Amino acid sequence: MDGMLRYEERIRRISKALNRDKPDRVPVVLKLYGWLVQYYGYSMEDFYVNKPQIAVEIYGKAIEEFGFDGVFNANNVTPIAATRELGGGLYQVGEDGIQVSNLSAHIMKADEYALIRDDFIGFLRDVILPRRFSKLSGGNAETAFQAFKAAYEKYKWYMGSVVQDHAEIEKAGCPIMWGKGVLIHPIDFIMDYLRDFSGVLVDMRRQPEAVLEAAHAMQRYFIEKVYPKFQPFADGHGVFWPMHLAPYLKPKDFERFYWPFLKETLEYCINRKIYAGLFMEGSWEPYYDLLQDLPDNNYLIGSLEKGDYKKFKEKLGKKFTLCGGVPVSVLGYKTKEECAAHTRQLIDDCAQGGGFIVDTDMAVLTLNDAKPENIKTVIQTVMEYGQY
Amino acid sequence: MDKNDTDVKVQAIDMEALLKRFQEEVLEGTDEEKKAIVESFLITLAKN
Repeated sequence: MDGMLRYEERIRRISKALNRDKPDRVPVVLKLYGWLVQYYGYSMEDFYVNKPQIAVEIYGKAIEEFGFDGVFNANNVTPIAATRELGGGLYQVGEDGIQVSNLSAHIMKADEYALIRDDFIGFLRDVILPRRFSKLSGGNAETAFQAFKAAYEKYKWYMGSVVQDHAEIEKAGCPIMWGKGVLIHPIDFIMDYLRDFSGVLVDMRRQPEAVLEAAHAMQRYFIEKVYPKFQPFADGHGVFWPMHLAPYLKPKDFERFYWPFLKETLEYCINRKIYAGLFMEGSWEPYYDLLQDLPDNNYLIGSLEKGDYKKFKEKLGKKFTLCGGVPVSVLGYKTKEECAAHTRQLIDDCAQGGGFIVDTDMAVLTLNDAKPENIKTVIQTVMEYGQY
Repeated sequence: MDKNDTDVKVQAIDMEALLKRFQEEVLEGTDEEKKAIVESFLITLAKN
């Protein structure tokens, strides 16, 4: 069967799961990320910086060897090639993939929230970028201009390659499902890129109104300027939303600082028929009841890291397609027999009525994280035991 | 002597002027399109 026919078969299976129809079997859509890069002997530096086009070879080989139904996303949209031109940046590439660099995300001061509230883009331009990138921090204006121009050229080259590569990967039969864009929670933006974990938690306690005013300004910008670029994508494809701070908040803080923005954004996607793949870091079990306030829909995919999957499916199966269930620790440390038993139990717990996709609980970042034979066992078990 | 008195002052980059020149010399399209590209790129850089 050629690549496009396999693509269509796989995408039909995934789409049926999203639509709560019964596919022929449970789909398997994985987040193997850096694991695949190392498994096939490529360097992280080439994959993430110098030769983005090797993704075509990597995913082409993987879909042949493992036969999964697709990937959550391809995890190669971090433009390190561009940020290096500016000197600095939040991420660096090591032997084990992308890591946060020594430069802390804590580059905003506690008394600067009003600057975000008044002019979010101006704040990033005049305050944050000069602090993050040495070539914009001061000195010769011509040098800074040339660096900025070079960074933009690298960004265009890198992202252009990624778009082209993803099309090639799909032609080879491997759907790349939820990476057409990225949704951003304003509180996560503050934590991930401006104030760091400890900073934002202290700010929420000491100056809650200032944090909320800034978050509202950011949310308005995202809703009015960023998300309108996302149109309904074909075949169940959609955008990615990595969510970070939620599981670390007290329930009353979640309801005040996180839930309003989350709900508005999810309803935005539902109303516009935009599929959104949510990576729900940590355990969201304390919020299962609150999430029931969302309308029933087929557009949200919940990739759950921890928590009770069966309970999630029972309580929220009409709000989210549940995605996940295979802990990376199982792939790394269990026997093949234990992997098969885990997968069968997962299917028993979650597959009934559709709306379920088998995936890892989190990204598999390095070769040491998972044994290849265990990944194959999980996929094979789904193919045999996951028939509807 | 205050420590700051001995610091070498580095001239800050006028980012607004830099981006104005960037729009004029590098980008193509309408002013609205150029502005959208610049803002999108600024957010990307802030996240990276």
